[in-house]
Amino acid sequence: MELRELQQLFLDAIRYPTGIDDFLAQAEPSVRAAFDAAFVGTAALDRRQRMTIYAESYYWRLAEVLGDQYRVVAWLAGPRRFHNLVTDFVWQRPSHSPDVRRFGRELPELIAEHPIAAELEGIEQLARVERSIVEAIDAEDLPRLEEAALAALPLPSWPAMRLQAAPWVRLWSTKRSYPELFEARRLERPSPDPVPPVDGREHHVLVWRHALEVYHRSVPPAEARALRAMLDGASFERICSAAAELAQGDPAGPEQVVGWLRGWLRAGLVTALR
Amino acid sequence: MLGHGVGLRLRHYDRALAGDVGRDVDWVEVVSENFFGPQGGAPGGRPRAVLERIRADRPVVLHGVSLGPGSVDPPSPRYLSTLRALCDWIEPAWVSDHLCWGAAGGHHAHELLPLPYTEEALRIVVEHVERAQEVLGRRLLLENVSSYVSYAASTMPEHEFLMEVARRADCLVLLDVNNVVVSGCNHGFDPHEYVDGIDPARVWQLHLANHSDRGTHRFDDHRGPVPAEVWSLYEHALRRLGPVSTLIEWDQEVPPWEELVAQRDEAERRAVAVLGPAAAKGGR
Repeated sequence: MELRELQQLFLDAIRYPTGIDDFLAQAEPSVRAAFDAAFVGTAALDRRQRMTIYAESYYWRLAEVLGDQYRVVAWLAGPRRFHNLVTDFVWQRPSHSPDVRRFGRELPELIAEHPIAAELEGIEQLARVERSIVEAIDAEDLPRLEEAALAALPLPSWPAMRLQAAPWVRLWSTKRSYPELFEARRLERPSPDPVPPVDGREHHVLVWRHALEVYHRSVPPAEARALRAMLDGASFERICSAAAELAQGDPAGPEQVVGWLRGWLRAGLVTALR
Repeated sequence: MLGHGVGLRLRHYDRALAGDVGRDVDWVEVVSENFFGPQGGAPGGRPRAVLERIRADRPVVLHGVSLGPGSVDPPSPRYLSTLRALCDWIEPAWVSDHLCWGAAGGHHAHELLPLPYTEEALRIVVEHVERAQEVLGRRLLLENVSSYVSYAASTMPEHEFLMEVARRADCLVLLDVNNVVVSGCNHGFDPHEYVDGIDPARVWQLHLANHSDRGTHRFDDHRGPVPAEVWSLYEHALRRLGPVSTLIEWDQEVPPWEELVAQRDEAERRAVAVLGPAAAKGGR
């Protein structure tokens, strides 16, 4: 057998989702014969047991990456559902990056088409939040816009002013509150069983990095409208009107938006004036 | 010779950022791919800050896990160019990876998979190591891996294969003492004979670590302090190889810094006992 065939056989065997024995049981007789001819075992540890060591190591290394990167998803889903999700992902979306930290990049996409999305409404959005947290960790460093640069802007220039947000700033609208679930997991509360239905409200969570730390927080609806407008490249005037459109009885005026803007600058969300 | 160091893991990144690592170790080793940026260049954020800070304090060695020179498909140009960019940025003392394969058809297993020790595999490994060395502009160190299965097609023992790769590709060797113990037990060869078959001139680094005894086999999990069996083979290796830069790996349940440094200090103490104070600091 040539090395290319041997390596493909090895990989096919260890990535089979239910183990080496099942791989061989469903394989063609010629594949079973090639397996027996290729790999060497002993009386103490036969070739199937030896290959099982690799199969288990393959699965658990990747499962550990997903568990580390999608902690709230894992907590909400609970061990059994998350194990099934991970098994499907490892099987259906093999890694194509030499960097194992990128392995779980497509988990939100898989969740979108997986039965778990119907079973746990809103879980796909939570996965997207967690992905953006992971991706912010080592994203490009950019200088933040200092408040002094805004203070120096002539008043007539403010309505047309546009802000450039750092690329790792993400604002998500979710059906479940990510910060609340994050806190429950952090406090080591048991996974909810059964998982309660969504509460019908729209939640907003902001993900950003300041210096070396990645943060997230809940964002009230009016600020979320303004922030979304800013991230979409709207002018300051448009950001103000976006915030005011939502506010009923207590419209968010320019002063309120300036207050938010100051907070965004201090948090390092903004890198430049456009 | 760099002296005695430790593998830097996530638990100790804050210590590295605070500049509190350099006083305890002569050098550190980091996993190369952990410092690949999302777009293939250098990373930003904490990984960048950690690596720059530690590099300002001590020599850094880049230890890869995904080159897989024994994979039939050659290492991707993007992988090699990213590693080259990392080298240009951080100026490591040297770069190492493993004598194994890890990918087929563009699918990465993220495992250090064993090779059959055949002429065909030898030719492929040598070609890929030469290609990597050409792109990186430096010689690579290749590490022997722990393995659990062997191949009927093998025509030579592992240490002969390793030495032949080193000779033909003109690369260097990172001898993992723990892996020799693990594989020796799993395949029934004598670890001392393995070490005796290694050309001292090629060995630039040693790894020390722990493993688990699972009854039917030993498993290389880098969990816990270096066991007596590995210390004993380390001393044998020092007598055979002379002074060599040595590193403690501890990847599972990573201990407090002081415990890790105590392992590093023990490696140095044993080197001094075997080779004498001057020899333990000299050599490669």
